[in-house]
Amino acid sequence: MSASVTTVRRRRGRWRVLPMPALHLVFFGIVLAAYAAALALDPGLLRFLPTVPQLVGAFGEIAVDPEFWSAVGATGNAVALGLSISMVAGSLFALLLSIHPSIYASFRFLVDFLRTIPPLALIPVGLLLMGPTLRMEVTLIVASAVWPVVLQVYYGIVHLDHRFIETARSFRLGMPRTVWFVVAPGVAPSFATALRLATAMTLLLAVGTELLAGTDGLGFLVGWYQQAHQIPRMYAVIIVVGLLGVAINALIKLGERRLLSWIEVAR
Amino acid sequence: MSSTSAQGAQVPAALTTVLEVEELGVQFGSGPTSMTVLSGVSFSIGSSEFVCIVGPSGAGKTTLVRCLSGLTRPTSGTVRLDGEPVLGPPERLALVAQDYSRSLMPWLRVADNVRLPLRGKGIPVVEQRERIRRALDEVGLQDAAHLYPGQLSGGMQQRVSIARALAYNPEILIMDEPFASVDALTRSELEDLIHRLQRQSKIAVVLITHDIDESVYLSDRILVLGGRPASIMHEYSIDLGEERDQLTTKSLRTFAEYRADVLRSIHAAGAVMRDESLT
Repeated sequence: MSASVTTVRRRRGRWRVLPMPALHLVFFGIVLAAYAAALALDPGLLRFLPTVPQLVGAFGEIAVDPEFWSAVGATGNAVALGLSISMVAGSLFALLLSIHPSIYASFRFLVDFLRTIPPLALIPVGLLLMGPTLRMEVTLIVASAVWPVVLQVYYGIVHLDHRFIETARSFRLGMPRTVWFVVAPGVAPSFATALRLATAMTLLLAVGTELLAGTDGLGFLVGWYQQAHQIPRMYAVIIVVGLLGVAINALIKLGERRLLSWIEVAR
Repeated sequence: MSSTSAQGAQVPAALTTVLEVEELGVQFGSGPTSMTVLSGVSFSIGSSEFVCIVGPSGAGKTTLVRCLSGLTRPTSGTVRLDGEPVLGPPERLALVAQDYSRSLMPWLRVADNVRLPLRGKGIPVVEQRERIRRALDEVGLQDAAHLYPGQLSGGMQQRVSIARALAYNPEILIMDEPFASVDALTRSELEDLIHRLQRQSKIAVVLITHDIDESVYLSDRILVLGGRPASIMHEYSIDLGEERDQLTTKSLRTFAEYRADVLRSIHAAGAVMRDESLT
């Protein structure tokens, strides 16, 4: 019996011959080669696309430019603030909604209305009220990223099987321990989904606000380089924005692997 | 063969009463749409007794379990554990549910699942560990402590919830159709396991089932729940000895007789239900 106990589900995908990072690198190389080939075949593209060497050069230039690093800091700051406020406020609001169905029913219309306003349409309002400040940027981020958090976490709480909680009750676990050992881990998968959705929303709003309202950050730099006709640099900053998203996603994945490894086997 | 048409089934004289149910009634809703599920349910469970409550599906077995374990307050009547009225989940009572996948926490490893009920009870960590080890040993899962429930088969998961109940150190164990979601072979294995554990530990066990063979095989006493609203319609003392064995016990003549008796009274209970639902 002990043999069958230790039989853990084996990984799918025996075709995987290379380790993951190597696969990523190979694929990246292919894309880069295809890009260079396209530019060689149709030189007309060079009017608005940089060559690979130009792009590499632009990366070298911005890497030593303190203005670029302060833009990275500004965007990172706004993203961190906006994301954490959205997660905390959204979860608390979801908790409030889940107390009783009537609370949910009375807020439902308001939530649906607010979350369907295209977030970028709020930029003029933000500018009008607060000017091009960090506070305005974070407010706009929260105003749009908070909704997916509210809905995800709310459904996570409501759909948590009551039998888990009943089990805790039958063993007299008490309220704080039930929340810590039963409710929180039970809602954690929805919380992780909420975090992913909110991250995408946050990046969009941060860069969008910087680009359109002129608050400090990478979005502002993109617009700035475009107007200054420093096209390779513009592309370099756009790529950095993408990498920022990838980095945040990698962090989330790391957290999920540490905290949510049970999901893989729970089926 | 002692069969009493029992209202207020009694504990054998030699045992002290652990659980006492008196004129229990449960009604859901009120007014014309209300439904009385249980009415006038009375019985007692003695220490170290193994009692099965058998009844047709829909008879109100689960409602009864919820009242016994303090999860639902009855509309009328009382449940007493060691003479104290049960107003919420009592301290020395452990519950094993049918659906292990919703009763074990999928995010806790096996050892942590067994530990969960011990938390916040002022039990020193060393003793917690010892209890967990012993309980997992007793159900034969000492090697699975670090696994998640999702990595175990259904039968193993149900053994984990039995281990969790044992580690809680109850004086009475309530099991609600505990083996209904596992295959037949695993089922007989688990029956033998719970029978052995009960004989060793001398705790009282109340097992709810709709499986007549299972009830005769395991019980010292069988209570038949039936009627609408349901009450205890029959009581059988099962005298098949301490040691029981899937092969020999189940092929005994007396086993077959008990089985036929119980089956007959369940059919009678079912018939009563049908007649009343016509009116």
